[in-house]
Amino acid sequence: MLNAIKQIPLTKLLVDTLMFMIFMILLSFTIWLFYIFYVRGPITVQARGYVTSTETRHVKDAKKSKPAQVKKYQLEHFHNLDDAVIGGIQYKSDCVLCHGSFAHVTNVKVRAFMNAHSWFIQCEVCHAEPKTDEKTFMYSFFDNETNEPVTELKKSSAGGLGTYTARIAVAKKENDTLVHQGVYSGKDFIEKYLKQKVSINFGEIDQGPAMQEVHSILSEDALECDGCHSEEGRIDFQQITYSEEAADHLKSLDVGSMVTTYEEFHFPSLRNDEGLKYRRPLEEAMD
Amino acid sequence: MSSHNGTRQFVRLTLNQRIQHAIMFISTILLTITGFMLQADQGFIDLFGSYAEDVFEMRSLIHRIAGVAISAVCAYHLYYIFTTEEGKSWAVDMIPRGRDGTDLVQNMKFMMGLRKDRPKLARFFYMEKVEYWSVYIGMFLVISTGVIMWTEWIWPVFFLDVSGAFHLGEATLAAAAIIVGHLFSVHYSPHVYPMNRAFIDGMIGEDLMKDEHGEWYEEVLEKEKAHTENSDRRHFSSDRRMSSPDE
Repeated sequence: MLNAIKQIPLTKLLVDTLMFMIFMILLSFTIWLFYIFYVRGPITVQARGYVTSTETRHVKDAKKSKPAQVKKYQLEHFHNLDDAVIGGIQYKSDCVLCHGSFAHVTNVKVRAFMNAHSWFIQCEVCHAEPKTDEKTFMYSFFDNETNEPVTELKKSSAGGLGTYTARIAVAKKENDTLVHQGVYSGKDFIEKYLKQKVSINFGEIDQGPAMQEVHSILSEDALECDGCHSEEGRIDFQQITYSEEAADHLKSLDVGSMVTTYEEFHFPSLRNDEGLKYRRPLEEAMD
Repeated sequence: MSSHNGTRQFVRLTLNQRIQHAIMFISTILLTITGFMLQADQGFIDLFGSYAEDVFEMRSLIHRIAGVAISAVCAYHLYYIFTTEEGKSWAVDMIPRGRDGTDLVQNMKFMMGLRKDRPKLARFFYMEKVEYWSVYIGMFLVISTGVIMWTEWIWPVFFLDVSGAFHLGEATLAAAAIIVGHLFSVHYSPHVYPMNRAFIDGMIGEDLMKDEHGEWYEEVLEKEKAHTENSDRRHFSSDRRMSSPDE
């Protein structure tokens, strides 16, 4: 079979075309390599370690999260605003030293819920075993800046309930006063460990025992939605300043079954042009 | 050695070698695509829309599977060159020798028009040797750094940063070397365009054999001649024995 104009065999024409296309792809790829190395600069894939997940209820194989570099690309654009909010908490849980402010990464379906809870609940509330001595250990709101327990609501000057920057944490009753109990009292140890982790060798702290020690207080399975949002929930909402009506509402929230019943949630997209107009610039959010 | 399509064909790659090559090139293509996806700009990631996360999860999985496959073929190749006759012959012929330097100079002279004939090259000439041994260095680097990054939770961050830089750097060098060097010589070089079929059927044509491996061509012909003579002699003596009345 011949091409009528130049008398070139059609198979040769097809092969030449194919080879030319492959050549152009290879050439483009090579030019792109030059671009990423000499113009844009290569993207440094940040190694942040695996995050052991306790969200086993909703994800079958959620033993470990996906490698961090994938998460980095998917998360960094969304949560820079949230970081500004969480940055306001002066007395964060020690967990964030390693795990960061958005530790819930494995379960795509509910991680937004869980990370949003990080704004007003410290990690140990859900991730540590409850103390058996219920008379002295309980939960309470603590002021984000002063770390004083928030035991009553004050009326604002406008007449409403006011705005409180506080989060729920584990408290211990000492002489009728609530004292904040951190999940781990070895903050210095964690910082020392993190410092040596970036050094060229492991340093004096062995990784295995260190990890074991730091995580020893944690429960194997984290508290799930109905651990708080049910009649038998861990937190007495009225005791921590919610009104009876609000407490009933919080106890009856059926988030757990929403998560287990529905395959997909439909949130409004904030990434397309329509959604972008609802986003505030970062500088404005940080004011 | 065989003959078809009117020209003599010589065995260049055995089935075993072709299988090793096939696993290697399929893995390399997958590794290149899935590896360099991490260097993609956000605009490229946005093309996947809501599937981006799934695509990147698959990327991660495929990269690891291909990495394991190429590591396995490398391990097998070491076993192959140390334990099989075919592999030993391959490795011995690949050892760099003083004459490679001479070949390089003479070949450069030929290509610049300062010499009339191309030098008669051996089974593997200097370029092929460089390519072959570079793969050892490259594979050592990417496999070791890949393993470190795969097991990132047990390494200090310094190791991971260094590994990441080496992994990307070596991968880029390898990709560029394959495109510029290997793909040109086996696909786009006028001698073999559109492809040197040795990686498919393992054969090399007589013309190419003479042109690119002149010395090896003569060696093969000599061996063939000696083999034929021996075989004739055996046949003749065997006939004689058979016809002997004493037996």
